[in-house]
Amino acid sequence: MTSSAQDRLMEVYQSYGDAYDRRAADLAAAQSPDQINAILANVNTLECAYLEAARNALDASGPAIEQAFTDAQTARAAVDAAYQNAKGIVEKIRLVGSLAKKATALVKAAHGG
Amino acid sequence: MRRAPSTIAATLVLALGLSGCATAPRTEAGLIADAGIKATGTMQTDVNTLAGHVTSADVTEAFTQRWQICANPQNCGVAVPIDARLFDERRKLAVAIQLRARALGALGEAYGALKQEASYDARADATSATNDAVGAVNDFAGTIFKLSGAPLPAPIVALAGNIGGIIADHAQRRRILAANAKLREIAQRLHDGLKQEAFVFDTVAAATEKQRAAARIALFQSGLIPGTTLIKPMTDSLGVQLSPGADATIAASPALKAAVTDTAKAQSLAETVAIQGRYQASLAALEALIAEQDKLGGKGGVSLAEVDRLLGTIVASLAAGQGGH
Repeated sequence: MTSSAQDRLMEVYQSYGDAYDRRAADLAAAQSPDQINAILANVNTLECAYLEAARNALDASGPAIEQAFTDAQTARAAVDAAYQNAKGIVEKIRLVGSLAKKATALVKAAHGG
Repeated sequence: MRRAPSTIAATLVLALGLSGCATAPRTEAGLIADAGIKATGTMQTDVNTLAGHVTSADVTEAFTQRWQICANPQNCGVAVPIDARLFDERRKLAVAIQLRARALGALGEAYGALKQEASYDARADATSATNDAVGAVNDFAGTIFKLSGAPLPAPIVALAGNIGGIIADHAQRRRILAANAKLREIAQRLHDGLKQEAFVFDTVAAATEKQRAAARIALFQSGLIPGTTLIKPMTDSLGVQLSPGADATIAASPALKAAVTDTAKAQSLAETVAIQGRYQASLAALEALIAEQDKLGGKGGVSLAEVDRLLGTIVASLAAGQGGH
């Protein structure tokens, strides 16, 4: 089944919303300035991806876009698993950073305009 | 010079005929002008609130981020650069909203000029004020369409001057209809720009709503504001008064602290929904006004009751304190 523009927007929004909600706990767990800045940069990148997604219809189609959508879903699932399994802050930052890249790539790929 | 009776009669017939079939629609134009003045004034009230809602996100986030960082005292001194990408996104939207304020102000002035023109023996010319509104609405539309990514429509052209005629009443009719047609065009463009702005606001709202809730919660948890501040909108709507010492009761109860925190989140959501409602009411009010402007000069009258009703909902929403403050 192919994804719709709405599915893609919600995927990006969910990624941003979750990262924002987890930010306070992540910052409290941070051990260095680099980690703090990485946590904030990840949330901000996801917010930018969301604002761009919401402003532009993500309505392009094709195998590359479906792959980008699947990659973003997979990356979000990995992030969820890391938080459920109480992984360390370094691993969480790494996985959210990967998700931010995948979400941004999805927006760029699916922006048909 | 004396004229022949047949010439006088012909002149009278011509004059009566013209004034009979082409009387200036002064009363209806006056009603439309009043509704336009009221509509632009009401919508202008909301603009500063909205711009503030968007730009305050930078400030509230600065506070919340630092509060969250300092939850671990060892990290409290870490410098955090401002994210220029987000700052720019929000600033662009706030500028677009403020341009709408200018367009609304100029359109209000133009409706005021139409009202002058519609007075019985007016010498006023609405051209200058109308063309100020043309410029302002073109600026607003140019910015907001670019921001939303929608195709930019061609700019509205200015109203031509020297509209008139030999017979005063006929000339006034032509001036009123020309001004009305141009004001209708401006109102339509304002409507289209507002529709784009509402879309852009929706995209930002989901993010700012979370941020505003987080800032309120941080203020509460840090002890800078009492919990009763956050639940007051709820108790007001229930028509009940908080007990003296309610803040101490909240501070001593983890359950009440959690409930107050959830209320802060719900309050932010309610503000966003109210702002979205006012966008929709403003769009509907402009549509109703435009529909009546289309009737001017026709055989039926105009009715501005629907415009009045919709503007009333905007005023009521603002009066209820749902402005996003």
